[in-house]
Amino acid sequence: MSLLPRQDRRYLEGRGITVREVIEGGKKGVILTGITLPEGKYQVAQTDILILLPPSYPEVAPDMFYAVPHLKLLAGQREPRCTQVRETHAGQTWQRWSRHNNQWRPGIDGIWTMLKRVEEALEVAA
Amino acid sequence: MKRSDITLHARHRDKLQALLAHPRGHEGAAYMLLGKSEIAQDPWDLEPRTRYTSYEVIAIPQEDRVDASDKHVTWNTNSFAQLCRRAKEEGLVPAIVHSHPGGFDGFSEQDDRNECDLFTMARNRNGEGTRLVSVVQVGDSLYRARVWEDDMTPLHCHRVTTIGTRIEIQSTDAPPPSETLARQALAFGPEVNGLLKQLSVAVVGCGGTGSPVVQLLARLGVGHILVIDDDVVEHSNLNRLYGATRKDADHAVPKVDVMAREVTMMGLDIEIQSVSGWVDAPDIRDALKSCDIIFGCTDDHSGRLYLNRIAHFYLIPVIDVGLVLMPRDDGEPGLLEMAARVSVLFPTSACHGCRGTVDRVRAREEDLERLDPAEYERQKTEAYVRGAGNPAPAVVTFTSEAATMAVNELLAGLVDFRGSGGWTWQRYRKLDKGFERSQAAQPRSDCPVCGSEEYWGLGDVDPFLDRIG
Ligand SMILES: [Zn+2]
Ligand SMILES: [Zn+2]
Repeated sequence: MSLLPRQDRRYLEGRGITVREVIEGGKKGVILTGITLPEGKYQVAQTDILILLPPSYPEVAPDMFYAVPHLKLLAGQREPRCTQVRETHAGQTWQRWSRHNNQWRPGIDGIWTMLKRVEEALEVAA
Repeated sequence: MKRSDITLHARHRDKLQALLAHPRGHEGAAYMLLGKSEIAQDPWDLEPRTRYTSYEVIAIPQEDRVDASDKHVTWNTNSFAQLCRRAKEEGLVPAIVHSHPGGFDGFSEQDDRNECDLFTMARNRNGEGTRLVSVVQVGDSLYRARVWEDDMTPLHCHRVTTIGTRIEIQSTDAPPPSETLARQALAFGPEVNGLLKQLSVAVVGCGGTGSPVVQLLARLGVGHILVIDDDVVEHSNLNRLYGATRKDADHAVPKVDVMAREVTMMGLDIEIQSVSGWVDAPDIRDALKSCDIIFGCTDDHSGRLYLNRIAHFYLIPVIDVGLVLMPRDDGEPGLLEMAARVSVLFPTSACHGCRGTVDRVRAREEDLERLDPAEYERQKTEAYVRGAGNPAPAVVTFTSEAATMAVNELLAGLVDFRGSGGWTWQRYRKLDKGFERSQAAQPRSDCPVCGSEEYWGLGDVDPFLDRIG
């Protein structure tokens, strides 16, 4: 049994990214482990990212994403904006990055698009 | 004995006919790759069965052809090994097709020997669990099929169905004529009653449009009806829900129970099964896969996206009904727009996404509301999700008109009463102006569902429908 659609699986294998699939009640998602953070920006160098996937994915967009550990900007020693909400998934408490996503091109976008959005959000966070 | 049947997409049937044709009436041959739909339990006879769906037709290379006459055809099996390789890699079932131009309706002893050899080759290559399907084209257009699962006896397929803009059923167990449907036969000829009797039809959503669809299907003589809904009757439904009574609303009776009760009471020898639940529940998948046609009678966008995929993966036409009753926006009573839309979703035509008949952001919000109502409410207060608006207007004459349009589309697929060669992909009727037009939409080339043939007829895959689910 696999959770992810075939194109996503191929992509993640190709990039050598370690993924954990999580299914909890009705909710499904993936944890991308050891995502490298921009140097000198956060209190840590790496983070795990949880992406919850709606049942109609990959035809509809995933929305927000979640981080563990809870990321803090070194500058100002505070959390980035719109990351204050906490949610529990897969036995951990996650920092919710409320980044809304309604730009989604079915058939073109996939886990690679989401990963790019995550990386951009981490890069520009203030 | 385990039942199995085959669905051919009409474009594959056309390609087979072209490949098998020979000017001097010699036998011809071709290969196919088929998708597979394993049904653990048929909702009506409760037995397991398998349905095969045409995925690709492959010509046998010219250099592999050895010899043919009006009595036989032989070819080298190099290309057959290639076929088996692809079948294994892509999770498909290999099939061989040959013709009996003289009209012999059956498989000869020579066919038995050849196919047994090919099956053995396939199994030696692909291992245990290998299957080989054999199809014979009798004359120009009659198809018979069987499946080799071991090298002893092949399993006979009771039915070959071809679907494009029409549904053609070639069955070896056709039902006897029905007394109650005699007047209908006067309109369309006796064949249509036999076809209706053999059909298994699902109705997803048993509200304003779904409940009249169920009534009409039963009185038309559809042999097997499956109703799916997760709602109960409410007092506000009684203005349009066929069969529902005040007592049903008082006791919050599931809508599907009302549908089953009413159809059973008709006493028309219709087998109706009901399932209460969300359309993508694991126990409902089997039931849907067993059907020949699905009516989508829901305003749920997430459900529409799901059925859209079922139509393409399993070659099951989905007849989707939409009603647009848009209230005036100035606070006065009345409607700005009133229209009924009926769409047929099936490979080669545009899908819901490409037609613009589904709102994907709304679909995601519906998913969240269903799976995590608390989080949905929270996001609503944070204005992350839009939330459903006020209750939509509903008028029984309009919902019933939409239902009639939809069921007539099924009829158009069985009998050419309009003289236009089958169903129309999309009809849009302005209920206030009294006119109707058919609408065309092209598949977008980058559409994952209808823009390429990758999913058409693929059948069972993991994950189901190649989506999260
Ligand atoms: Zn033969
Ligand atoms: Zn499409």
